[in-house]
Amino acid sequence: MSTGSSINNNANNSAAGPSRTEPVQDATAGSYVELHCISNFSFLRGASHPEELVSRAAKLGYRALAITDECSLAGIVRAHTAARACQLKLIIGSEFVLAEGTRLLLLAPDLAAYRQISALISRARLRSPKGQYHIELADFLREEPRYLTIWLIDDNTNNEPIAQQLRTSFAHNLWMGIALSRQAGEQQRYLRCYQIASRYRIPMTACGNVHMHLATRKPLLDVLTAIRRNTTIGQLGRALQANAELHLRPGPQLAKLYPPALIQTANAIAERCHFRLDSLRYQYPDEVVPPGRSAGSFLRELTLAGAKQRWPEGTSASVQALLEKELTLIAELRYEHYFLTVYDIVQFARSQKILCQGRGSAANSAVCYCLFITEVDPARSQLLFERFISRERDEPPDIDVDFEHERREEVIQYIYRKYGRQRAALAATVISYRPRSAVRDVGKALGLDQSVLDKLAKSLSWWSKPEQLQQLLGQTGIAGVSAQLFLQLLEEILGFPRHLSQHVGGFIISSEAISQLVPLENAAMDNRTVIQWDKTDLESLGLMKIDILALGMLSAIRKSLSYIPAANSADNSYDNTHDTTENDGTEARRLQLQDIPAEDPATYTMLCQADTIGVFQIESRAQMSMLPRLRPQTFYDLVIQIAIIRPGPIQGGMVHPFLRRRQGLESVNYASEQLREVLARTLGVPIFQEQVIQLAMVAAGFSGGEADQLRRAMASWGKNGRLDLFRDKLVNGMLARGYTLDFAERLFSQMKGFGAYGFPESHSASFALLAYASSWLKCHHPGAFYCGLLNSQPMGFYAPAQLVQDATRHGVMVLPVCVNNSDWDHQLTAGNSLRLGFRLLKGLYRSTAVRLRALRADRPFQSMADLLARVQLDRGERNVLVRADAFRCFDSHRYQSQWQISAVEEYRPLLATAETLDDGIELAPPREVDDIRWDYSYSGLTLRRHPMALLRDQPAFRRCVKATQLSTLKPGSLLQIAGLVTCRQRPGSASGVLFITLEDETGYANIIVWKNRQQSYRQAIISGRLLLIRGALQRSDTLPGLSPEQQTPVIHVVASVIEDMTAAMPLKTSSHDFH
Amino acid sequence: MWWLCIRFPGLMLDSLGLQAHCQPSAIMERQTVQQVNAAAAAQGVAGGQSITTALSLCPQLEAIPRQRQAEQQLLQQAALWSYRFSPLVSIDTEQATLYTELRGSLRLFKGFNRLYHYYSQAFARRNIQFCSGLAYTPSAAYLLSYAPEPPAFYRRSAGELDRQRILQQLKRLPVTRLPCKTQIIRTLQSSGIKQLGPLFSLPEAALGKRFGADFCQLIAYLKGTQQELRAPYQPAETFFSRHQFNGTLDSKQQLQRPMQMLLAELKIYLRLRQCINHGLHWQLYYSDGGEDTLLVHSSHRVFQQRALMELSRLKLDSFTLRANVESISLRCDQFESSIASSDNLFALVSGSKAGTEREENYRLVLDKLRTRLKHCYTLSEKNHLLPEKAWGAVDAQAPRPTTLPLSPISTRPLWLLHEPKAISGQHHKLYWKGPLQLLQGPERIDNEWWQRRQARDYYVARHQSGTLYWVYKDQLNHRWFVHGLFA
Repeated sequence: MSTGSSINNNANNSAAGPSRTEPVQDATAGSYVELHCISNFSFLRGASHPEELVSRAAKLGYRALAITDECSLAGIVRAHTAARACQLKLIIGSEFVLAEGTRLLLLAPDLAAYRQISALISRARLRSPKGQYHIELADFLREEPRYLTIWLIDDNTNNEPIAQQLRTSFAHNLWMGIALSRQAGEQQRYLRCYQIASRYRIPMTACGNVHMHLATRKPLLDVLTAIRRNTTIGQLGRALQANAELHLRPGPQLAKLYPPALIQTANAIAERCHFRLDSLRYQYPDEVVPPGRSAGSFLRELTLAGAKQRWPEGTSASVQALLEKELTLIAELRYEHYFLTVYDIVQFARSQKILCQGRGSAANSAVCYCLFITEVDPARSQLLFERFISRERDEPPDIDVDFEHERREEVIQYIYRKYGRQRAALAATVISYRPRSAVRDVGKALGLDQSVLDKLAKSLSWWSKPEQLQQLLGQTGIAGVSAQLFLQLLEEILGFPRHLSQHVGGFIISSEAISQLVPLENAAMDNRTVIQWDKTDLESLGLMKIDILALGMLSAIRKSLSYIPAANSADNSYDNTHDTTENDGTEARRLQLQDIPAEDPATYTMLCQADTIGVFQIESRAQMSMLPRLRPQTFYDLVIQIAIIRPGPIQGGMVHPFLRRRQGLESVNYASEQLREVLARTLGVPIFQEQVIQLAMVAAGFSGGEADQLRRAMASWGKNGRLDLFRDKLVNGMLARGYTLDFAERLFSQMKGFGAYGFPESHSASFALLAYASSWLKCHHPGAFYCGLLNSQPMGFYAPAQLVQDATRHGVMVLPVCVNNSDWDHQLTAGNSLRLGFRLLKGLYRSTAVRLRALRADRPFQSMADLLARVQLDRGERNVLVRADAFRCFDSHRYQSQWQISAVEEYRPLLATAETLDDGIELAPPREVDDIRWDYSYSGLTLRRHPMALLRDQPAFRRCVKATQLSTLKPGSLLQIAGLVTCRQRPGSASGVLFITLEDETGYANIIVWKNRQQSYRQAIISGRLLLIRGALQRSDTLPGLSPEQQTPVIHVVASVIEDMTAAMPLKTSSHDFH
Repeated sequence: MWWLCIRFPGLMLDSLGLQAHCQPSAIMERQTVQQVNAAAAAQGVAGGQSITTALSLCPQLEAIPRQRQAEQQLLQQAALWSYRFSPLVSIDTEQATLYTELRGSLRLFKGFNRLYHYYSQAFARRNIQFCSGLAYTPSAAYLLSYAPEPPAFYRRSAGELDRQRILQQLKRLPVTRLPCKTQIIRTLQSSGIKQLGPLFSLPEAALGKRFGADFCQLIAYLKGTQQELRAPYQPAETFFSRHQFNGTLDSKQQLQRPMQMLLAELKIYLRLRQCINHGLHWQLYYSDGGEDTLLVHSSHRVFQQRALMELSRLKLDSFTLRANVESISLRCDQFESSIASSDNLFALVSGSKAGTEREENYRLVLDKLRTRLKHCYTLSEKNHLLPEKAWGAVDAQAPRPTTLPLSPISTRPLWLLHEPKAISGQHHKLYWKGPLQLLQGPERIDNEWWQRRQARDYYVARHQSGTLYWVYKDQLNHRWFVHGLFA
């Protein structure tokens, strides 16, 4: 061991204090390998990202670096990707603390050892609740160890028996790891270890116990320790790291610290490790292929059979060529099993009448269309198969399928049933520190007062941004060095993984046990396991996965369709009195998704009038204000409409040029013929991700692979500076091809704006199908449409109250909840009227609704006493029904019903007789306004007059115009308008403008609140449920070439004064408050 | 009976002295605003809002968790104070109310007006918000505390209560004020019964069937058809009282009056419980959030306010105020029965008054001496990484700390210098009263980054005399220091 003998010598030795300017070593100078290094995936222990560790080790000239997180391989894919980029040898391993207290480090020399380590982690994790593990020495001895074992000796215990046991168990694959970090008493400790190692013939190796890539992370390391121990740094005492030595230190420094033999041994261990993570491959299950068949021929057969169904009159030559091209590529890349597995899952869903539809890049595939995985017809769209699978990219396909949100669990359970929990697992989502959690945890560790942290964390909500934190800190009295320190720690910890959660639906399914590929662990949800890698990790390693996603609109559409008789059905009545989720044979007579006619003019006319409440994707305020301007006339217009109202195209400044060109106000010029090919379908404006990729290829000479890297960089722009790396290449490439600098710069800035928020065309097309289907339903079968939508709540943008208001405006007669007529679900009854169901009432169980229906089947309830005598209801349920006015069929008003029902004795409800209920007291009926208030309180909506209709007579509201009157006013008119707030939005793309939507008895009014008004009326904006606005009318210009009847101007009221009038009628209404 | 109800609508704030705070403040419970002070109300913050809404409305809002114990203490103090006027005192923590039966005290205190004046003055002086009601039962008085009329309104000139007026006022009140289960109120409201008037007109049988006998009894109390008894106030097991000042005090002299007042409260408390205290636990609360405690030991057998004040003053003399004082509290939690101690005392000094006084004076002198004595300390290992902080003085009487992680003291000297001494280097050698030779090290310490970072490399060094020193190089200023000597 090195001890100081002169000042110089020691002064030089001790120069590695926490300094931001540590010397980077010449790559040839060090021959050190680090065998023990944890990343921040050892949650709240490691203080550096795996990428940071790898890149620092490469800079220091390390020969190899092992990432050895505690009972976890969660960070190794990131480390692997980084190591591949900087050509550092990465060793994969993991650290364990055994139940007996011994600490072991396992390293994987080859694939077999890797599989053993992965299986051990899975075993240890699956035994314990989420986030914990349990493993004993016996677990390591179940099979011959292929891994290399390093004993991380603890000096405080009796090590003799442990040494004996480990020596016996691991024989010649055992080393003793020695970490030297200039701690007190280190020399004595080393000597004791040396004695044990000699006695038991266990070779010693250098093993740095690295926790961070730079010494400057020491403060963060201490903060993490404090968070983990739920205390403050001031209270940690000796639990703090004494110094900052647990970082990646330069080789020469380590050479002075460790005896050479220990470093040589570490090198020798590293030499034995050859395993590379990218050698991992896995096969999708075989059982999807019938015995005796090859996967390729089976896939071809299914595809061609599907093509016949899709195009009964025969496939066009171009489609045939497309199918052939895809099948050849799939066979070449051996993806057949993957397609067949997805096909099997989708088939299961269809057999169960669960509506599903693939989206994302898979919708670019004709094979997926023929397998009924996706619905975008390649004969009608311009698909870019390369966006889905490309030979050059050598990246596995990723198929996302949406299922009905209420029935997705059935699909998940099918997968588990078919493949078993050993072979099917959900991908993880890494939950990372976000501003609010970071403020709370770091602040607590620094010992800041809880109330101050509450204030700070809560202030980071609604429309405050994290950047305002410094200002907020100042307001709470934290300034100077403390504030700097706090901010620096926050900056460092942001993005640090905190724990693993389950991905919304990303499944991997394997032909062998997944635990040998990647460790499994328990999720928080019962009976759910997740793998330790997330979606990005799987992508980086080129592993296939399928996203089983939930979509509310699919439930709604399936339900709506099931209420509508098919044209050729004998029964032509709307009806959903049967529960159509049960297979009772009634569906055969009902409409199917494919029965919806394409390109229906009436539907497009409705869309041009922005009549889209409840319609998929185009029901938001922004979409609705764009519809009359864009005036969709074809399906492709709808694809554009969905893709263009996204933060990406909005921030990229694509919306207005597109609109002007579409309206013929601006000519479309193409800088070259190649650009015309790419951009002609969107009038020269890039709207889809695919177009940006194609542009880079044709205009700047990017290869397919480079263009794809560009797409990825676009997706993560803002998180790192990778997109800027492409700037020069793009601009220079375009200049070389004769484009102007101005044009090239404009294109690049559009790409930046696109960021993560641009849609691929195929994805937009998949969504457009659902948007079209729901629009058609709304246009032609509004009763069925609203019934399906209301029966799928909660979903979508609008609350039931707003949907019912809109349904009524579309001529649907909505009938109230009634004990003698309602079911659990809302029903469509004869005459296209919609009877509200018990599901609207909070506090009433579905089973009660079913009992009510069964007991009234023979004979309707005659009176309240009759009902109570026949149906056993508890007090809560009785009150829910009475307060929702469900007894009105007995000619009893709400107050009288409540008075009578409250006489039922709780313990003898069945003895309720007419006499018990009626004690001769007659109460006065409620006023209309009271009835409305009760309606909102207990069923969330009213079928009586709109609250605004009642308020019109009050002096404060007399001068208010109605929403429908806005279209008759001139632009610039000063006006007053009042209504219930249904929506408050402050989109990031609207530079601080706040949008409010008000509802009155005639419809909706769109209010714009500029930034300078928001502060003055902050209180009314945030908490008002009923607002009165004074402002000026703003109306869009008339569109050229349209008759006055066809014009649907977009009208806004620009608010100058906002008054909170909630007190005039306090109602329990709900609104959507988005960022 | 004449029940005076004093209701404290701002009890949550008042118990923490926040009502008149200029900083917008809100009391929170379960993430919901419960009470707000005027400064917060002015910015739109109101009870029932979520903390997110409240902070959106008023970003500088100070959100303070509700402290039920402080509320209970304030009510206890009020009850103790009220006890001087009547033996029938009762408190209700849920309703934040104090009830006192005053009929029997009217003559002694020369009429209701004068008595009520004492109450209104006492609470106004302490900046405590209150509302009051006067009626024949506590329940009726409680509801009338919500009515706009002052208590005197319900008095007839003949000195009797005006039952008609009381009933009339009660009937106008909303049912939401009824002190009963929320479920009953919701049922009444959803039956359209919104005020007490219509409720009073319903037959008792119909009400009983629906809401039970307790509710009927409540109505009877309100109508005055039944006498109502409340559980009498019982002093708490521990005496605690806190005095919040108007503004802050900056001299010890100014503290003496509030201390006197607190001792007077203690006196009433002790009389009620018939016991005598052991010691006084004074707590000073500074405006900067800090606190100081003054423990006054007393071994008296007879409560003498003057003597206790003198002891407290002595204690205060040897003490320096660290900042302006916002409030002061007195706590006593050790007592013995004054009857038992009197018996002992009689046995000791044969019952003579002079003997009792002598004994008490003797005890007082002893207490004074103890008050003047300084603390004793022992050295103890502390949970700290920095050598100079790893040992420290601990009160000899304080409990010793529980087990600490093993300290790596084998390489550290037991004798640390009071302050590290700077040493010089000449010709690349270290000199401290002669040349030093480094033998072993370094042990590296890099810590305290959150206050004043300390980065040191420690070495064992040998002096030419053979003495082993513990020296370190400060990594921040590159200077050398000697820090300890090995035995």
